[in-house]
Amino acid sequence: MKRIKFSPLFIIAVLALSSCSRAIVFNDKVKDEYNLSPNEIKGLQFYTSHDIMLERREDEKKEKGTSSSGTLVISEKSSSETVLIERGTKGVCVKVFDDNKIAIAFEADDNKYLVFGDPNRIGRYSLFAAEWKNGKGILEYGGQNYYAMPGSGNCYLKIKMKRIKKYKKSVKKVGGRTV
Amino acid sequence: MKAKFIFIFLLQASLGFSGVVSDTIYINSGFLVTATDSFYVLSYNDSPTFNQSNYVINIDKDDTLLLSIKNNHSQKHNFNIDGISGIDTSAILFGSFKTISISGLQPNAYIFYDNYVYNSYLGLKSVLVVKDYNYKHYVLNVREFMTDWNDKLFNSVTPTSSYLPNCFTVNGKSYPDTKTDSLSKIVGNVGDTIIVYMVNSGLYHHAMHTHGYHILILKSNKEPHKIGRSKDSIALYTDEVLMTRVVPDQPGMYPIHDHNLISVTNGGNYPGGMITMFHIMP
Repeated sequence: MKRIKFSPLFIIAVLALSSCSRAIVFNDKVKDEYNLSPNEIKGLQFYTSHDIMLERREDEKKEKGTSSSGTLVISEKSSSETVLIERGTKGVCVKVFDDNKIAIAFEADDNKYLVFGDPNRIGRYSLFAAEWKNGKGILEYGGQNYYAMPGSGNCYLKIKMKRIKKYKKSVKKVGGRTV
Repeated sequence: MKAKFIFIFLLQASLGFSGVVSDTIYINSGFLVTATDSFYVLSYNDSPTFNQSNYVINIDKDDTLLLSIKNNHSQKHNFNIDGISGIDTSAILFGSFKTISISGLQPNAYIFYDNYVYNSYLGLKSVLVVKDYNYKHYVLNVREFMTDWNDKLFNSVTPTSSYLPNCFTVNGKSYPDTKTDSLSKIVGNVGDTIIVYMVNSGLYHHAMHTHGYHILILKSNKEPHKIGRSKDSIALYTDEVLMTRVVPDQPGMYPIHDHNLISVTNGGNYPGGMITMFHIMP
């Protein structure tokens, strides 16, 4: 008789793979199917599907002065700040709004969040902005206005889901009953 | 006067036999959602509301089709039918429509499409079925996507990377959603004659495999030498339409899927993608 041998490593690998959770699109179908309450949504670990790049620039400040040699000096000051949230970054829901929108924070500060939503029920919670123009979105992050750079609008939310099936089998032999 | 009535009656009777079918399709844009991905696509639908499954036009042999095509998408489109010349293929601008009349089509399935490559890639490729039978029929329109391309096209950027598809669909849905999709799940009884059109509207070739039953190839628009073969694995080339017939000889639930392993995944996870089911009852 031929016996098939499996190495312990193979068995561990199979068990590990079979218990893996997979990333799925977060949408109303998932929300409704599993009847997720706002508190349960706040307990989910969210992930970004695409990179988000936020940029803001401080207005230029022009200053004039004269040097010791009598030269007129015009100095211009400007600054820019970029926030990069890479694809797959973990986020937590910090607010649930009524109109199918949720606020997701990717940093420790709860006030630094981005809004994702699906008000038209298209099947995904996409990055929300006050306005999108030429691929750029204008949105608020941490109380300041930022531009979401082109490509950021592709971003939607994913969650990980794992199905665990428990099966219990009991066998009882009944001895019979006599009068 | 009497003769005039008789003429009108005969005209209507002749039209009644041949039939004039009016139909409208809408060019919509939206996001296709699978279990693991969501991305921008275009779709032919039977209403102004986006649906990720393309609409299939059905007429009978000898019918005249009066088809209106309405463009709800912000770019211009055109309309072509594979193998049929003489139809107006001029641009349909955003918000406008055109109506075409088609008659005298031989029984078969014809791919209709937008001939700008990225528009047909994004989803504007569906099927007109002209039938001369009274059996139940299904259209399995298989297509793959590279979601990175869709993201770029959504942002009006022309994709430059090599085409490595990562999302695989049957009638715009991926397994397990196909399991409950009335367009893709083939339902019948033992002994039924079921016509299945297999259509490849993607850019890749596919190899469809049936479990449980062999299917008989009745027509092919690309490879007529396949006709008459009874198979359980069939090559389906890009833009190929196969008309097949299956007569289930046993009850059960059996998968139909692409035999290429990458095509039966969602986001790299098996099972997913191009899988649908036979559900045959006794």
